[in-house]
Amino acid sequence: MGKRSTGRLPAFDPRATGGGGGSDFLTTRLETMVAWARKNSLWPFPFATACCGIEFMSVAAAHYDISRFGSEVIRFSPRQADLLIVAGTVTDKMAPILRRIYDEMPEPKWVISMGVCASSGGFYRAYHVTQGIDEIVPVDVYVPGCPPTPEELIHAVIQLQQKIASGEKSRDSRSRRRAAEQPG
Amino acid sequence: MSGIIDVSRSAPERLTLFQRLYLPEILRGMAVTLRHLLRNLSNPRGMPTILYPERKRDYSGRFRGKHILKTREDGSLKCVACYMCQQACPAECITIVAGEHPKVAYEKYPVVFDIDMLRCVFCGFCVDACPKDAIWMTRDYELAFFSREEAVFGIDKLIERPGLPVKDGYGYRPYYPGDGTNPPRDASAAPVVPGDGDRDVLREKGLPLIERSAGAGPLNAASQAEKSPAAAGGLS
Amino acid sequence: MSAAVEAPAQELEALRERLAASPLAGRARVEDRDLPTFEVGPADWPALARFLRDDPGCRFDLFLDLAGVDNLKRPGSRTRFEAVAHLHSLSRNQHARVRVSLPDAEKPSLPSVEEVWPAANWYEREAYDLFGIEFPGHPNLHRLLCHDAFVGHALRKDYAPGQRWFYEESDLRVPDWARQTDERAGHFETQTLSIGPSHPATHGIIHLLARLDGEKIIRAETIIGYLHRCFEKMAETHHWSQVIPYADRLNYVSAMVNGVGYVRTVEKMLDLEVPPRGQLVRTILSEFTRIVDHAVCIGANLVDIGALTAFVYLYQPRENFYSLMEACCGARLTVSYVRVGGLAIDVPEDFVPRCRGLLDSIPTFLDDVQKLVNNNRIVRDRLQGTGVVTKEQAVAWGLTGPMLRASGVPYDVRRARPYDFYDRFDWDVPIATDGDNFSRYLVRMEEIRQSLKIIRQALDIFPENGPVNSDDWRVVLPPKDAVYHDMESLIYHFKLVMEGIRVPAGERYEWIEGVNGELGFYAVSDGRGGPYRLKVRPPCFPNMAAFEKIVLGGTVSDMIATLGTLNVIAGELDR
Repeated sequence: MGKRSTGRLPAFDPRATGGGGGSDFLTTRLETMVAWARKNSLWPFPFATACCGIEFMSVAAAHYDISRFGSEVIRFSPRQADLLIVAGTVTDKMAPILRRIYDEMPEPKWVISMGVCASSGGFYRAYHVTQGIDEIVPVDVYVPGCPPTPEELIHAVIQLQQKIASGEKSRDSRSRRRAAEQPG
Repeated sequence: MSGIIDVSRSAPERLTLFQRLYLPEILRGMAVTLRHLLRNLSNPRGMPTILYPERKRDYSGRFRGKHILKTREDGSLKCVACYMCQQACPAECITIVAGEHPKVAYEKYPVVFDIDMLRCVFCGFCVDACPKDAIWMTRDYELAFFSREEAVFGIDKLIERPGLPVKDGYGYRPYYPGDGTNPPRDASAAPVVPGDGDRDVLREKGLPLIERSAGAGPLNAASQAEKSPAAAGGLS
Repeated sequence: MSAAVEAPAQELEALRERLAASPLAGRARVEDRDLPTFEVGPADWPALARFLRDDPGCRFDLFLDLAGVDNLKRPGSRTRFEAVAHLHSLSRNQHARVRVSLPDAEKPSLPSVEEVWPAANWYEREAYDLFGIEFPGHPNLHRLLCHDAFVGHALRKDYAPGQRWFYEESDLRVPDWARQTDERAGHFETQTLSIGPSHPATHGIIHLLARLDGEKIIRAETIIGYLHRCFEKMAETHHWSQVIPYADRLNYVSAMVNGVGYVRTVEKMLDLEVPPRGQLVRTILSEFTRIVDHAVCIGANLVDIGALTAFVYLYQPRENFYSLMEACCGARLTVSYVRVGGLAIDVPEDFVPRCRGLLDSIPTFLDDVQKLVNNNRIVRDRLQGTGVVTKEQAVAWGLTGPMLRASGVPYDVRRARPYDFYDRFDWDVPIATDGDNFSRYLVRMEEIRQSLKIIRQALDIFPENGPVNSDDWRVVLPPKDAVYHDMESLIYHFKLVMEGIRVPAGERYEWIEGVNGELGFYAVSDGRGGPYRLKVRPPCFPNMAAFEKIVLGGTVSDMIATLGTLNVIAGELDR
């Protein structure tokens, strides 16, 4: 029988996934280099469902060219991607598939929620639309816009690169506080 | 009025032997791409790529980006919390809580004016709906958030700071320079006559509050002044 | 102005006479509405369907749409459920509507007409999914758009718009034929492959369950609904003008065209005239939108078969058009530029020179792509002879647009029932006779060139000044200067924003040539500020329904090529 839908996932907790190594703050040169390499070679998996997918195509085309940021290889196989860009509305029918794609991606992986439909359901407060993909997958960067301009998406990728470089898994205040409580 | 055009034979139905050998056509195709390559190499400035973030695309003055709440000269919001933008918004992303403004001329103001940027579809209906020229949109689109909570913009993030430049300039707005629209007359533009406005001062003094008669028209400091007993007697 | 726009008296009389001469004489009647409307009971619906399709005076061979309507909250004495079908006669160039009132409110049921018009298959499934109307005789009556763990029927008036249900992958209904194993010729067996929904070539999210014998597809079923964003329910909960941003996101690759289709429906219900300048802006921008949509379609199609360069070349005119569109209304893709009665704002000063510049730049990209593609053996082998649809099949499956025209039927709404100045211009409707993927590619390329021709002529007659909006302030927001300083304008503005446009109670079906075919909107109003029911007739819905039949007998790689030429946009397909 039908089960009523659950609410949002809580904000991403770095300790819960345990991915990417022990401490939250980068201390060694090697980790800095690894972070530099990772942030400059983000290979996106464009999970393009709707209009934002068309704007993603613009980002991949000649005028904006995301390959300038290392995303030369746009792979439709989750095994070969490390950045999941959810572009477009995710419906309840599509939600398990999104989760499966996210699970199939190897660590380290990041998620950009492109557009307001993916981030919060947008203006579809409706019976078949997931009100934000953070009900299903943890999100690193939310990009507003309907659809966001290609520059906005590139701006989000740059923000994500800064996040990767800084080594912080998440910048929301609860995470930061918890990380500060940790010894070392 | 003409008719119908049959394109079935606009490309020859069977390829010639020469075309069926893969290489000649591929080489012809590569000539096209090589031409593009050489053109780009000889004129890199002519390439269509916009090197964001160093260069930005020149969006027009109608661009629908982040909203901005306009202010009067004295720094207060022009918004009178009439809820028309909230009603017009298809995404229901605007939340307003109205409050009574101490100045009678202003009457209402928004205590809370939140726009959830992760619900907003940037349609511009709020700008179309506003009757007080209080909300515009700018050309700012560089918004990216790490959490959903930080995406709800309140008055402090939306207000236009007088004197400071607007990031990236104004975008979609209710009227443009030169189209002959006069912005709405603001109550504060008229001279503030003693005794008008500041209800709490009137209450303190025990003076009767201003009666609004039917023919007073839009609340206008000058038209109220003559009815104010305080103006007649002068404030002591 | 074509005579098929209204139902002129003699055409209606002719239909009445044919009906009176038929065995259905006492059991059905024709009403005079915006379209000739047949009213019949559910038991006689299949007989009337056959009559309408086969009778020489009717010949309604193209099945356009079937909409369910829930009259629970609509004043007036009607049965709770009714089914409204729209038909078109290609030979007589006439539309008709059939209304079947379903007397049983608990278990509404209507015999299936899938045998008469195969196109009705998916429309009936959708009505079952969203309204709960049963269709005895339907070969495959299961949910189409909502997921399989969904409880209830979403478009019923007593269904809360936000009520969601939890869905897991294991809830997906897999048909029996896909589950069974069977052996052939000793060691070989057929296998079921699930292609999609997340697949690089599925253009968004389409799921094809295919039974394969080696590489050959011997049975297929398409599963859609992965982008069902509840447009029709959202339309019921918003005002008429607030539906415009939702309408943009139907066929999101060509947002302007959907907006024009929608507001035309409302304008016809209000009997409102848009000034010529407004109409011409709509025409020019719609044609540009058609060009860039075809460009993306061809580009994506070629990417699917491996030709990546053409995509990059075809994206350039799209970006240039985005600059133009952004200069007009402030957004690139989801423009929300139209309003009921005209446009949101007037075009900028340099509109005409910019359009001309864009017109001059587009043909070079097209020529480049043609040089790369037209005589390339790989493209020919992939696209020529694959995905064949014959003329009879195209009509039976309810196809419209380039798919229908590539099979040889010259039906284009801009020619059949001109609107917005299309009858004033000199242009041709491209058709092809082979009905394969390559023909569709050729038809689309030619349509781009014809659109360029139309835009050039439209720019020649474009008036320099004049209003773009109707001046009826009960519908159009008054100009800002008046709103700021004039009380009466402020009151009109207030009423429009707070209550929405008051459209008189009634119904209307209005259609335009969308990029993929006939885009129709069937709107029912009950006098409030928003639609009571808004059904979209999406052009790619029957195209996609036919897909599972077109791919039979072909290989998986042919299927990929065919899917590209269908130009399925999930936003429109699933709404």
